[in-house]
Amino acid sequence: MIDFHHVALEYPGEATLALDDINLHIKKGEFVYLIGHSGAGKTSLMHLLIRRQRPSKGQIYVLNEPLSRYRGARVALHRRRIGMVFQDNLLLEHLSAWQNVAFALRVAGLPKRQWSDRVGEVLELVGLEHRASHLPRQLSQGEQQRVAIARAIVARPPLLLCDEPTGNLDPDTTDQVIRLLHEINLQGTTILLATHAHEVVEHFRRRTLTLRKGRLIRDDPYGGYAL
Amino acid sequence: MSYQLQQMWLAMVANLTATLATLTTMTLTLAMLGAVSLTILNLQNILGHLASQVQIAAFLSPHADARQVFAELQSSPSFAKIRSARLVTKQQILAQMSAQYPYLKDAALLVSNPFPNTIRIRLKDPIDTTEVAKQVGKLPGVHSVEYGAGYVTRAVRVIDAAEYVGDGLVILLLINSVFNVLTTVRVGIYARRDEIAVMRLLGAGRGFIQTPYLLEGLLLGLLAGGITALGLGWLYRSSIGSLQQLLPALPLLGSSKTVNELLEAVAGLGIVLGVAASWMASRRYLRELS
Repeated sequence: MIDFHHVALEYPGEATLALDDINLHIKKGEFVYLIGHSGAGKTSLMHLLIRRQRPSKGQIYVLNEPLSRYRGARVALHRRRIGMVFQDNLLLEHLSAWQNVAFALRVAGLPKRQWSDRVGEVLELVGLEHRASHLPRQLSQGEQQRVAIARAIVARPPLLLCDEPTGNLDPDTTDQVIRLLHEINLQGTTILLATHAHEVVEHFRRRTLTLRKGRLIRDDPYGGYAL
Repeated sequence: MSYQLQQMWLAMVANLTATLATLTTMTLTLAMLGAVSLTILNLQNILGHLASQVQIAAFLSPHADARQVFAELQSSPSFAKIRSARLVTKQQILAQMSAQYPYLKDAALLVSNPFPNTIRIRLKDPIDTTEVAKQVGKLPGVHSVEYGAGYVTRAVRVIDAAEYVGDGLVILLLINSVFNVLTTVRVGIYARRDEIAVMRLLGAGRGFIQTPYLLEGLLLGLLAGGITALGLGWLYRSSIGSLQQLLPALPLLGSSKTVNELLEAVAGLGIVLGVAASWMASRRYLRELS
């Protein structure tokens, strides 16, 4: 699903590498945590996966295709095959929960007649079918994050990237969101989740990758939080 | 497409002041462009009329052989600038003049025919009048030439200069209009930058993001061009009659096909300007945002 071969990332004007000689392989259907301190390179790695950044060195394969070949319209097509959830949920304020989720289908170019079933299905999955007509400001932080997750999975991407999705949530809501992500994983979606929340990594043990100063220092198949 | 139209409408309403400012500027620009073009069109018409009226009269010496002078004229370097040359004999001139002024016939009986044989020359371009007249005046057998003492040349130069100034003004106005559309689209893009960032992350292509701005440019251009063509057309048609009465000597263009075509072209230019400027702006500012 994801392959990194000797990947390095250097931001212009910065002395140190954001990512240094990263090698990793994530199989289809895996649930993988990505942990590390702030500035360790978690978000940089995510940005490489959605082709927001290009590596200074090395090769990246996502869904068995090399990202280095992607330009312009192909980058857009690539992103449609990946779901993304962020710490700031990035919901569009003027759209309701239903419309925010459907927006991903519009961008993906799915016919309108398919929207209703798909959006209803994912809103039910995240437990927000009764809040479908609410605007983001009328929803709690946890609900907003669940809408963001629904938007990320509505186009049924094989890969879901989550960058600190529980960063703004209280422990109970965090628990709900992580359970939801595991449920989505059980349906076959590969998930890479970058997080600071050690209780999450400890409680829901899965393979854990640890980054420190841009280097992958640990790849623990049994999980656990150790920086 | 309904989504794109909806987004276009939302963007225009959200930035109503900038949208109206652009529409006003574009309309004024196109109106000035149309007015300048109509003026130039009329000046060209006047120039064409003037050109058809301009002629050089080469009066031959009493004993000059008209055929010989004609042959000299054909071999002179200025012949290439001549559209037509016609010999009018002194008898023909007397007959023409007598028809207008009958007493001349009686006067001619008392003395001999006072008129000289004359070659009447029309030029391809009236700007060459002075130069050709001087060269014709030097030909053997030509006594003197008459060509309106250079007023034609001056008139042509003034009209030419007016055209250049008009063209320059039009270009400046067009550039101004382009910058206005650029600014409007930029304001629109920056106001929606969060939404655009989300679109990008969800995998929206450039075309998807750009389309509302292109539609906005199209609509603004269509409105500005339409208002200009209708307004200017009405103003021109309602004022040209009075102007013609005021200046009967000037051959002004009425409600002709040429005027209609010019107004259609101005409306078309509005659309092209709107779409092209919004395409440039959205492309540039979206790249800036990313």
